[in-house]
Amino acid sequence: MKAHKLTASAPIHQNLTYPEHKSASSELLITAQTSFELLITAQITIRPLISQSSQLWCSIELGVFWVGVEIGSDLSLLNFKFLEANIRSELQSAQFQVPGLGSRSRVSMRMMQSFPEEALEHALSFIDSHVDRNSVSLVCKTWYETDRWCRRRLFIGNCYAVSPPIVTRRFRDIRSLTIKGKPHFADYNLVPQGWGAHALPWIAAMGEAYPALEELRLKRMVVSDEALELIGKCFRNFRVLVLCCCDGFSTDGLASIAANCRTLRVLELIESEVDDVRGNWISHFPDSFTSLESLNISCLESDLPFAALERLMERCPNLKSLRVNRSVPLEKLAILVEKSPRLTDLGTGLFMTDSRPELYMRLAGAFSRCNELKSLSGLWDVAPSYLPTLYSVCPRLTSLNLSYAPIQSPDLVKLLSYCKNLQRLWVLDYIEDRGLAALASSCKDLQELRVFPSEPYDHEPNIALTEQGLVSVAVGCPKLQSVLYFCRRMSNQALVTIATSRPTLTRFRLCIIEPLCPDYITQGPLDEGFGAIVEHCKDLKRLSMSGFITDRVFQHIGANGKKLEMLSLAFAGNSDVGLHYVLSGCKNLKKLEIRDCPFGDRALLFNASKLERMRSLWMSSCRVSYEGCQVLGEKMPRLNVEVIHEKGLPESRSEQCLVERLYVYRTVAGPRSDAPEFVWTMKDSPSMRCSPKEQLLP
Amino acid sequence: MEASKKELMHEDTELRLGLPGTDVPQKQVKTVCPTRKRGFLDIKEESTSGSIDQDAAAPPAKEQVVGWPPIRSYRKNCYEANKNPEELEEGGSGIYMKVSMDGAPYLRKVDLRLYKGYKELLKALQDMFKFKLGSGHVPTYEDKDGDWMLIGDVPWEMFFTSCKRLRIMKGSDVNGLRQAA
Repeated sequence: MKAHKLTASAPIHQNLTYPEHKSASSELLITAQTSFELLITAQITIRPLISQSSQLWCSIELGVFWVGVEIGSDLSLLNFKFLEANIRSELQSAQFQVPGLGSRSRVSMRMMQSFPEEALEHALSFIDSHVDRNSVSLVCKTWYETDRWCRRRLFIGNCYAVSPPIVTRRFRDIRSLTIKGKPHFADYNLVPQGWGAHALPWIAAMGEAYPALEELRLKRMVVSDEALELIGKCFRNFRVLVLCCCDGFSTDGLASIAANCRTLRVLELIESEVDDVRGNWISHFPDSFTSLESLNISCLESDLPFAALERLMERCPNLKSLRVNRSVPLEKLAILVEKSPRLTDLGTGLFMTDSRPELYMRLAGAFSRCNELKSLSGLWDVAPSYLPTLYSVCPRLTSLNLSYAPIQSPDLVKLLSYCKNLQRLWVLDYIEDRGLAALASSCKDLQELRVFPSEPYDHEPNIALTEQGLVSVAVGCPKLQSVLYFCRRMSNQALVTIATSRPTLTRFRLCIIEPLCPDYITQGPLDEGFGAIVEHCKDLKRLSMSGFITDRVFQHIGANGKKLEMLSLAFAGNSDVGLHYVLSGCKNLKKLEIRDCPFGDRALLFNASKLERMRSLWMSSCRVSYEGCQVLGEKMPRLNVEVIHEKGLPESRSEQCLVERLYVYRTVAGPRSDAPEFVWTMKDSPSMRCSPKEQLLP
Repeated sequence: MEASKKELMHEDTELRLGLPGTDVPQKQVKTVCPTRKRGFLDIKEESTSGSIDQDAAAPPAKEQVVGWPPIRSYRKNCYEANKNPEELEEGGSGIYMKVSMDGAPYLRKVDLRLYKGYKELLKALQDMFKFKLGSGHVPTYEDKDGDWMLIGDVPWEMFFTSCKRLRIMKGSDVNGLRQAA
């Protein structure tokens, strides 16, 4: 904290009139003799209390700020406190404390009208979290306006919840935009091609309204080459492009980014599908381009022209994160690592070749000089004999992704024994129970574990990985928070052990590969086990369940899942009662995705208003009827009730007509205008039912 | 109209999949849960047999349930790239052979490309399955012709190209093999 300058003005006004200042509250400690005006040029520390998590103190420099002080107040500290949003519609009072002037005291006053906007703006600029910013904008009109004016970072969790014109009308100047498109189950091919989530309309609108946009992060959106070209044309100071689980573009689009975005710092393609057309897109980065800090092209399938990559690296001294694709062979990797020992994040290519001692030595030497490497991934097709070249970086690693590496358990255990500081591990089930037990004893800082199946479509288990592996890690790793685990058997006993050992879990996603798989010991449902998870893990935000579970588990979830934000269900439950427990009980539920469960109209309609407090609901292969969807659409005008029915919409409103897929989300933008022919938005009245051709433009 | 209603009824049954507490006869529930050797997919095929709905006909050998298990397409593509044991590509996927051992509950897979010869392969197998050569265990393999051979009988290159899968046999089985040869 900077030292403050404080000057008290000399004149003492006997008749202070501050029309907006009512008498101070009873919190005053009166020590001064007379009332006076105090010219404050001090710094004020501001502690926003918008959310529990923002324990943020920030200080702002005030120009001239007149504070009315009642008789007898001792101004020792000046402290402005934001009030809880949603409780007061107008800021009514604030407490002021001036640092260093003496013993503590407080002055209360009304200062809404006199608080300079610049001060509020400055204070708000320290509030980053979008949840908090949204709360800030709800406090009162002034705060809403200030937020409109000065918000720079925007997060849109569902691109159809709002529209580009609505955004550009509200916010004056956005520099960083994050948008999510398709529902999560699109990852598993449950959303048909052509469903939507097009990035182009957004980029076009942003291009006109926010030419100073610097960052764009898109997830599960369809991004065309045209959209990428537009980025290069519209945004002079573009710095960050992250495309996660996107598709629709080719390397031509990447070439235009490379050629036109002269100030680009971050280019990350995460698990996106990129059409590879001939042409050396990397060489489109001009020779004068030197600003790259992070490059992730691990999902590209074709060969990378290595020379161009090498030259790019050579002229970008700030490159800290580099993830290449499979095509980069081990000997080329050695060159890359030698040239950039300052990397903090490396994604290798193929980690296999025949035995070549001089390459081995070179690689080992290069890695030993990587003193800042914290994160390692890639590692496709690993030759175990080359693993020891990594041993020197292992102790510093906090994140390790071995989930594409078919390395057997003994080699994995050896490697992991060096990774004492590991916080995140993604691995294949080749690690086996014994490997996970070893992990639990050597990696005490582990926070996140993901175990993927090596043979997901085999009926016979071919790996000695059972529920025991997960139990060892849950018991042995005190900081474990996030789990994604694929296995072939589970028991209530194991789940209870996990729950009681590790109540700190915030994300628990369990996939028992065989649907409807019961507790392998009792042959009964896994209700008790999952119930224990929600009961003990009080901060659980995300849960995915599998195996044989009945409505009883949903009773537990509704009763205990108070912080639950996302729930994924498959082949679970008996009846609508299950769905009702979840919708009525989970106060913080934002996303609910369900497939192949016997949930129908009743719970949905009964809890219709809940759906407006959630981001979205996905139901596929359930028992929701077409009529039920229509009723929901009629009842709830601020929801888009989208029925996805590839066989064509039934004419009759019969209850027997079940919809294939249903996607319901709250929106202020009305039914979308870009819905394809197999998506039907249920609206106000049957005649208003929006077929794709009839849907209104926003 | 009637036909499409029937279609939906069939879909109805498909949806049920023997979930407890529904109209489906209890026996379906029993078959799904305890005898997990039969895949969920087998049950699904049964329940759709006799359906006139064209869409339910002849699903492909793997992946009959769309989107299950929940693995991202991206990751699935990487599995596919790894899968083909016949393929020998420069810098491409390995040659993964299934290895089973009599008495062991789990199969393993080895990538033959990692080994220069029999010595290394046998050492790896012994590490993997925790056995010692000569203590009644004999490594064998099935070749392209479907014949079971002793590992080591033919030159490495011939083995490398003709091997389809490996099996570590025990005791009496081995004698039978030797006699047959």
